[in-house]
Amino acid sequence: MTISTPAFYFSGHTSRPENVVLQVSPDERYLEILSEDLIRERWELRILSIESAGFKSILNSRIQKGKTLEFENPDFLKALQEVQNKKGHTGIYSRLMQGNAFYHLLFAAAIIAVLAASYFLAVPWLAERAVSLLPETYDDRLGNLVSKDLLEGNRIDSANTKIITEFAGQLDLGPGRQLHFSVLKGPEVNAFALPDGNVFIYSAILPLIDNSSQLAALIGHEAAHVRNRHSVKLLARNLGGYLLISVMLSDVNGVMSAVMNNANSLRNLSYSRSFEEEADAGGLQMLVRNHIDPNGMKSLFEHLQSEEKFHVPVFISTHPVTERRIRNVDDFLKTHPASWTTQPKLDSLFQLIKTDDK
Amino acid sequence: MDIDASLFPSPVQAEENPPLKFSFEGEGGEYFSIVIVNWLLTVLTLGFYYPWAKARKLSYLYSSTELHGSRFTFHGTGNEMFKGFIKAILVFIILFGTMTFFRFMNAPILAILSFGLGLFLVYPVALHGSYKYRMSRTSWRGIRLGYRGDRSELFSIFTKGVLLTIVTLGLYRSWLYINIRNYMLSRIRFGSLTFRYNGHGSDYFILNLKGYILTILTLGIYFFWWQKELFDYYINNLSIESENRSIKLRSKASGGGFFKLFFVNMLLLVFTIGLASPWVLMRTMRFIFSNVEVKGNVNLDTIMQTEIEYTDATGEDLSDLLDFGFVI
Repeated sequence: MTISTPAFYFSGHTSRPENVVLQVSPDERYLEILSEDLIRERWELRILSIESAGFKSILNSRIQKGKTLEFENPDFLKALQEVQNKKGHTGIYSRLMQGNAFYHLLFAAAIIAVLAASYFLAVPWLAERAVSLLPETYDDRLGNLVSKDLLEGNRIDSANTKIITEFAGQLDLGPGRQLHFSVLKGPEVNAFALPDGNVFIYSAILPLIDNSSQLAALIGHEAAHVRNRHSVKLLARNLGGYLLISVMLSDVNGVMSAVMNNANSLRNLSYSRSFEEEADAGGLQMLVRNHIDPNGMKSLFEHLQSEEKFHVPVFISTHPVTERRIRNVDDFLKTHPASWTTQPKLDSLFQLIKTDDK
Repeated sequence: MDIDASLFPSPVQAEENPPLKFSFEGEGGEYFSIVIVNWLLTVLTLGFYYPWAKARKLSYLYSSTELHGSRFTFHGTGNEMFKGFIKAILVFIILFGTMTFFRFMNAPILAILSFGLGLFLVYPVALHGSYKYRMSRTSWRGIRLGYRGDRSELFSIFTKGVLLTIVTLGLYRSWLYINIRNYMLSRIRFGSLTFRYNGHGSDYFILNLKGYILTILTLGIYFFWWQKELFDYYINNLSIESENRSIKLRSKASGGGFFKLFFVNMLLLVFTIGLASPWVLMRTMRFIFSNVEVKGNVNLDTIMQTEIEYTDATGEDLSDLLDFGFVI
């Protein structure tokens, strides 16, 4: 059975349409172009390119430069594609395209699954690798960007800075970079550490601290942030997620990548929460190592949490004290029965801060 | 076996002045399949499929565009655009390399100057190249389009315009834009026919100034009418001519039509987090072509092939890297 279709033939010299009939040759190697029942040209099916959109199809041949055929017949189009498939003349692309819309939805789902897997598994892992390859001088440069401004733009409480530096000097903070403490005058209830080892404590948080073990807990927490290079890790994960999303989704469209990039920022909030928990654990270990009462961590949290009822201090919003974190500390205390001694040197330094307050 | 076509005079009854019609027949479902398969192959090849993906997309868009009962065809291939892409990347490596060299030599001003000058030179080259490539790879009924602009002429229009724009603190930009448009569009050939664009910078400047002020005064409502006026300005100044005959293009778009287009597109995108973008593009194309009226006394059945082939896609890819949309 030969299927045929009426078509327009364009010679490549003028735009004048000529009426022809198309059919596939019996040996299925050629497309035959008939006019007035005579075969006028034969185009090799192997190198025939088919473009179709809506109901119309356009045929071109690589060696028939400029010549074009145009027809409107879905059955003939299907017959042509079947012959090309059977003879193996179709590339991967055309084969993928010939599947119905359901397959394409499946493709979309599959790609999204692969992207999700690489986003949730590969990016954090790669980020961790990348950070371990980065020299620590990178942390210095990153921290310097901010710490210089902070030191110049704020009034320093030099008396308390000196005391806290001495206080921290009494503690074994573990191996790693040298830490540098500064107390900044200001109403914010906050403390934070920069990757270059600069730890900033706002003076407003000091009256909320009751005893030396609470202060040691705060210092231990910030020190763990620096030692574990949390800032650089966060940056690497953020960038990695952003890159993956832009590369894989921007080709599809801007809206999707914009939505996903916002999701990426939300995701980073949860990363930073896990870093907070890691810093708590690091702080607790430091307390145990120095024979300081680890309950200081818990009472510090409870104290800050009760403060939250009146107003939300900045410390809470950047280091949210969640029930979960307090529970984690409890678990640690239960599983690590530690002995501690009184710390007369730390207590007396702490008293100096307290009298300074008054 | 090839038989000489002239042996078969074929009897096509062409009217003297048949009514002309532009339309866009692409379908969202078909385009969705193309986008998804492209996406799959792009992800699998770590992005290297991009030029081929682009060729597929353009090919579908062109084949969906119908004039006077026949579709356009895009003949560009992924291979051509990949080669162009490599050359375009090389150009940018040289640009960035020079800048880094001067920075390294502690000459930041020279670094910025060399980069700025480089971009300044690349722009017209990219524009010229992309028009030449894109037009030559476009055909209708086998008749190729072509761009016959001269690179140095374009360069002098561009240089003069940029300098005046700098001197006038940006005010001259409308004139620069329209002068380039006039020059480039008027050098597009459609076989034996010629495109003609006849705009004037001052009209364009006033149109945008008015649009901007009224949009602010009406809290954004006028924006859609501004878009309509811009569309009118692009379409109504365009004509296609042959010796003493011409085809005029007329816009039928309305501000309300633009409002409906933008509003529905936005809803579609927001509620599908963007997955509906193939349908959005098809809607937009259909809107554009259904709002262009074609009137004239040129017989489209008698266009002759006049343009030669040009397959260097470097300009096309440079434009991609510089990220300016194609204006036609």
